[in-house]
Amino acid sequence: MPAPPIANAIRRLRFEHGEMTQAELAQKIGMTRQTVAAIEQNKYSPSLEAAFRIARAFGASLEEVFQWAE
Amino acid sequence: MSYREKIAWISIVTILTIWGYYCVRALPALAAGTGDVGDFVGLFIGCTILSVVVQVALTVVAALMHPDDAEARADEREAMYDLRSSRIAYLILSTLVATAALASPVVVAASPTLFPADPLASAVLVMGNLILLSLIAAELVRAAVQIGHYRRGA
Repeated sequence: MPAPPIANAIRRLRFEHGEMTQAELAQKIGMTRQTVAAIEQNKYSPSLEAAFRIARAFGASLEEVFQWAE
Repeated sequence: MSYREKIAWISIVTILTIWGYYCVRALPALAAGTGDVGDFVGLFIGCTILSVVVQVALTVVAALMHPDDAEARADEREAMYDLRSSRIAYLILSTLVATAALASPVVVAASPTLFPADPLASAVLVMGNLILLSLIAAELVRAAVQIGHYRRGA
């Protein structure tokens, strides 16, 4: 299945939040580290709820985290 | 490797070793009509108990390695993998069980030649083993599809 045309800034946002680890982000949003890694690498598109949780973890808006990259 | 991927591997390894052993022991004897019903039932019960014990023991070991993941509910990605693999496994299981049911007249007709002393038990044994093989195949596919998803990460 081709990757969806959705880019994300999770890696940069983690860096800007004190090098937050994937495990720390995963704990904040109630997911596994592997799922965060899959989202970050654009291998898995999260649900809307999970996307909001990620954005809230960074204190950012949804579009600051996820962009439609077509 | 995540906790739930380990669980899928445990399932595959347990099935291949314990139920593989069952198949190697039981199926040739069943096809040849050797052994008696008690042997097959004993082998089945032994493999079932061993399978449960080994799966529980290995799952406890995996849980000790990932205590947080073991206590947590599956997240949405893991739940999706579980649903996808279960759907495929269900299709395989229903197809194989339906095939076994359609084959049952042939099984009943052929079974007296397997164990002439007890044709009814023969038919039950053969049908039971066909259904058991269907369950084994479906569970193998379920775990393999899950692992495939976890490996690809998508």
